[in-house]
Amino acid sequence: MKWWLYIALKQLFPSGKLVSFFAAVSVLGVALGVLGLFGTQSVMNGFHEQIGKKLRDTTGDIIIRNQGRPIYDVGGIVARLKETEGVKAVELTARGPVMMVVNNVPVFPMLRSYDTITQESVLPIAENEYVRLGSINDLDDDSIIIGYGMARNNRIMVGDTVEVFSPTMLDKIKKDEVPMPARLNVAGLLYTDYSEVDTNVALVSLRRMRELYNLGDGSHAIVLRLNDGIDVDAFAAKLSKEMEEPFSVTTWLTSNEAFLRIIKMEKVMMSLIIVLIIIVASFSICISLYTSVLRKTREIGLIGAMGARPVQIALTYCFQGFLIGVLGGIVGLGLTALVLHFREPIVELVVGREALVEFYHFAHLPVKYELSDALYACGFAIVLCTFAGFLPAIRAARLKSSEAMRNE
Amino acid sequence: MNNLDVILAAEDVKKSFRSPGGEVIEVLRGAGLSVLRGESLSLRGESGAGKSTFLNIIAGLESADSGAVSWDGTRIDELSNGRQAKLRGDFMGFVFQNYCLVPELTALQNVELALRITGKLDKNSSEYARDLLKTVGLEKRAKHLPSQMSGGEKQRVAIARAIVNRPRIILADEPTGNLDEETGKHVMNMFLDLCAQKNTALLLITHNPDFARKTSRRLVLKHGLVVEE
Repeated sequence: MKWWLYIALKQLFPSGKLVSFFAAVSVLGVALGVLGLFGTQSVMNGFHEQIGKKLRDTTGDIIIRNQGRPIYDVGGIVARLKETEGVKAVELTARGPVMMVVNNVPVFPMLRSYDTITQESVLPIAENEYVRLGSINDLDDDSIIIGYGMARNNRIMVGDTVEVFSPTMLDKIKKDEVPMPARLNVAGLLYTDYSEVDTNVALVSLRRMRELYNLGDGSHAIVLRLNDGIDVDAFAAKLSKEMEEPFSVTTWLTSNEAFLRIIKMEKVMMSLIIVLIIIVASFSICISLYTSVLRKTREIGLIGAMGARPVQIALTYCFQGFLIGVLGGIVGLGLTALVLHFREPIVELVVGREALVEFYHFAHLPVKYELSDALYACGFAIVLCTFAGFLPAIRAARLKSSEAMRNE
Repeated sequence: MNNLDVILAAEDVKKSFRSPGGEVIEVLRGAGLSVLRGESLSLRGESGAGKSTFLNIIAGLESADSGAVSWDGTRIDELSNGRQAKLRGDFMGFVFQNYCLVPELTALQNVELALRITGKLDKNSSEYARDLLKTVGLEKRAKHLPSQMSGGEKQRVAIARAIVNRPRIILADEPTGNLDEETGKHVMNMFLDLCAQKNTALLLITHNPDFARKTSRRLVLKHGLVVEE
């Protein structure tokens, strides 16, 4: 082993001790920075992935619309789309706001259709067991499945009856007719763990939805679910060319572009702020190493007299910074895994689950580890810590043995 | 005296400093000496006479204003810094008043450090380092840190470190300056014996006339010149 490497290691891990106080504190400081950086990125990745998944699961991948007007006679298109490679499911859907009266209290959910006849849906309702206290199979023309959050907020129970008024009923009012609401039985609760859906959406049969919106045998959109791994944007672009006017093709990504961009932006901003922790830690390391050089002036002078070259003396301190960065990075990754493993009780203790649901629409904190984030956090820590060793290294290398050994 | 026996020579070394007030202080005004293989020399002088400056110049740690210093006939001012550093590691050992041990290393590791720096550490040389610690009476302290040793013990470790590379000469600057009289005597006797035993030349800077008397030649630095006592 090179002597400068040996000295650097011994200064961090002296004989007779497991680790020096300086090394322990420095490594911990860097590790906390890496924990902050990698932890934040992993949680934000988790949010991004979960939100993306929930958006896909609750809206489908691709939506074909007729410029906001109902779609009729699209059996041929639906059949062709079903045969297209990469398409997992195709569904004709109707969707729109309604007023729902429960216990004389009006609620304004977004009503979505579910084809109870074919039971073909782009939403993995049965697959993911999204319906609780009931089943999607219980849904018929006289029943409704209500979002879990909406039911909780309005004290709606399974078995209750709700009255639903649709916007098309306004036409009847204009004609001085009394609109009769649809009286629907609550057949179950929709629980997707995405509060945006769970507090706003209710499911009815396609036939009931057509009746409420006067659609006849039409629908509002054709929704596609693609097989996993298919590039949604590329598929949509290809489909867009094939579809004739007046149909337009959008994806779940473009429909939610602004929201997804905010999540990404939030990740970048939080990372930038947390990077400051690592910078502060590296300054502390720089100061500590510099103090060490001042304290060891005579020893450095003697090492120079014994035949060490200035560049080797400099390497002693650069390597210490580098090693602190490496160890801090590794410990930081370990701490991240540990803290995020116990994230649920931590979130409960620090912010409370309600805040999580309110701001991010999830009851559980999602996490997704990405190798690139781990490498970025560790690499950043290592580079900064190595730089932190430069200043002390230069000071040590410039010491003249003759003057250093006279140092008091 | 055969020229081949001269391992270190300094001729007409001059060095001056400028005081903060701008006054030029001539410390060395043509000092010179030659050291023969295995001989021991003492260099005395008043405080501020320039003993340490002269030692640094002949060790190549400081440059002279003029004059020449040779190690084994090689002019050190003609060598690059790297070459000079390498040669110095092989050619000379150092013992200083304040020991200069690396606090994170044990006694044995401090001795081995000199071998590491010169790239000579192997199984045999490590064994030799242990033997040296035994010679200076510290075999049971090999695994002790400097903080666990007395001043006399630390200085004995420093002596073992200076000698472990089998240098041609050891430069010692007040090696007993931090020790009490009794310990100082003991350490110095051991040091002189060891140098004689290993046939290593010694240039000892000391204020103590008793220690100086134990060397084969006694020099005095006076008015910037080295003279025989």
